[in-house]
Amino acid sequence: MTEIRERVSGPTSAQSSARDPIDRWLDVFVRLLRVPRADASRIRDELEDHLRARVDDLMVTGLSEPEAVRAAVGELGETAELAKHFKSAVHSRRRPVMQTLLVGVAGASVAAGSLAILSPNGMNSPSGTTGVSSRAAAATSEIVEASGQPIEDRVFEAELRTDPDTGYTTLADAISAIEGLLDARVIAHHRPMLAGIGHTRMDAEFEPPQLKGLTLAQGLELLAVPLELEPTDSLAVYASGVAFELSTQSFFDRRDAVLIEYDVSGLLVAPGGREINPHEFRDTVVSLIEPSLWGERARIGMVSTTLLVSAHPRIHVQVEDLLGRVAAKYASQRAARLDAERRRHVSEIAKYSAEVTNREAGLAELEAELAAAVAARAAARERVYSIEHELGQADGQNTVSLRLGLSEARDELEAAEKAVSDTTDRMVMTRHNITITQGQIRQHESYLVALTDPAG
Amino acid sequence: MAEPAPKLTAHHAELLVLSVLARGRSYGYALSKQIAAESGDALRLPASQLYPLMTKLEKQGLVVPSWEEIKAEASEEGSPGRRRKWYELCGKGRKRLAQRVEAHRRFTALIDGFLPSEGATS
Repeated sequence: MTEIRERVSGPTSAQSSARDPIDRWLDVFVRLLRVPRADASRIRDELEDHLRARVDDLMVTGLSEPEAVRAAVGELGETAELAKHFKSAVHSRRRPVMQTLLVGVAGASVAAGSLAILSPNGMNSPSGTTGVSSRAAAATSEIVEASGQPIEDRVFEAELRTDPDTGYTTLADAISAIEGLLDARVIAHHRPMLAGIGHTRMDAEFEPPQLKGLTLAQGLELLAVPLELEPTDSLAVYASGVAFELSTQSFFDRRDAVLIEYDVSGLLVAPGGREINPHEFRDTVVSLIEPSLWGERARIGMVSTTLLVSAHPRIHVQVEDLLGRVAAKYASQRAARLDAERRRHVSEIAKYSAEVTNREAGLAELEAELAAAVAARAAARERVYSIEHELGQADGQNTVSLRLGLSEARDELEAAEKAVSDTTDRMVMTRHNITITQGQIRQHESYLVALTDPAG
Repeated sequence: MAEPAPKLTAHHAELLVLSVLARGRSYGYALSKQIAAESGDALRLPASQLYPLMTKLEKQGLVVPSWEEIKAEASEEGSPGRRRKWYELCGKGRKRLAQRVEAHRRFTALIDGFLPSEGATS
């Protein structure tokens, strides 16, 4: 806060429109200073006061104005040396301020409550919180395409410039190096006041990491070290259509949060039919996707069977991937169950078909038996008629043997009739069994059809 | 002024500046003139040492700055004038001064103990 207030209300430099030698010397000196603009402005004003007061004093002793100016400036010593002294004095307490600024950035964007989608043409379009899933999802994929892997694949070819006096480099130089690497403008979001507005340069110094030969991701990791970010935070570069944006990942997480509704009704019932508690489901998602992220930088909740996620598009990519994988797992489990079911029906059909074949063979045998029985009955009946006829012709003699023969013939006829009746019964029974088995086959066949084509 | 003014160490420079400011607020050029005048030009605090020191003291919260508009000379009408930065010792600065004075006295007393008595060197 101190830093901002001083910058806003602090003195402005170079108020004089007439540029005299002192102004010109101060211009050069300030360029050598390379300290934050607010510090530079105050140092310039103080040195100007010193020089002009000193020139006045020297002129009183009889020097001409040009001589006095030369003497006064000369007394300051080597310009670059002087700049170096100031730089180390300013630097002595700078780093904590810089961290405050970075933390402030994130805070400011949260306060503004911005929910924004970056569209490919680089404009910030309000997403609203209505969460029309398809629209938000479309925007998500666009951002992912615009800010995906290819950026990180590039390798730094330039070293960071190091100040020979201090051995430090500035973040502005690091940003320049990233610009060279990406061959594009980089918008660096650092100061809360300027976040999102333009091409901000940070003046802070830090010991330069060696970036040569590193990918952008590795380089950003190293650059983040002196910034002393939160352990869960990192520096990130995203494409915004017209330029690249550099800031902390938490800044992007908050600024570019998008609300998407995921219908997870299909995932809340496991393939076996077991119902899954919606809150358990949500907790699982949280534990599987950057657990430290939720709460501050992203939000998640369940309403009935809808999973609501407000987060950066990169998180939505992970959520979609996770839900997709769960759905695929469920689908494969369901497919395995279906396959087992189908195989069971096929084997039942085969078993019953064999049974039908056997019964039909039995039926053919019974038909032969029946034919034999019918023939035996006809023969028996013929014998009975024939003996009865003989008995009618007989005149009382020799009838004993005839009567005996008739009794035997009638017994045979009775047995033959019983055999025909039995065989007929067995045939009826076998036919009935065949019908029943065929019904079972048809039932399994209809199950099979239903499994193959659920709509049918 | 037979000998050139000795170069002040950072430690001594801070002690001097804090001591002068303890008497009342002042600004850079006035501080350097005051130190030169009071030491009969024996001590000089050059601008290249003074102003970075003041920046450091300010960053450490030992002095509080304030700004004054200096009107331009009558002969330079149209010139907008300049700004003067005044420094005032604050509570933290007074505490630091007390510590420095105490440390300085103890140090010189220690050194004094080793010095030969007057006349012994001649």
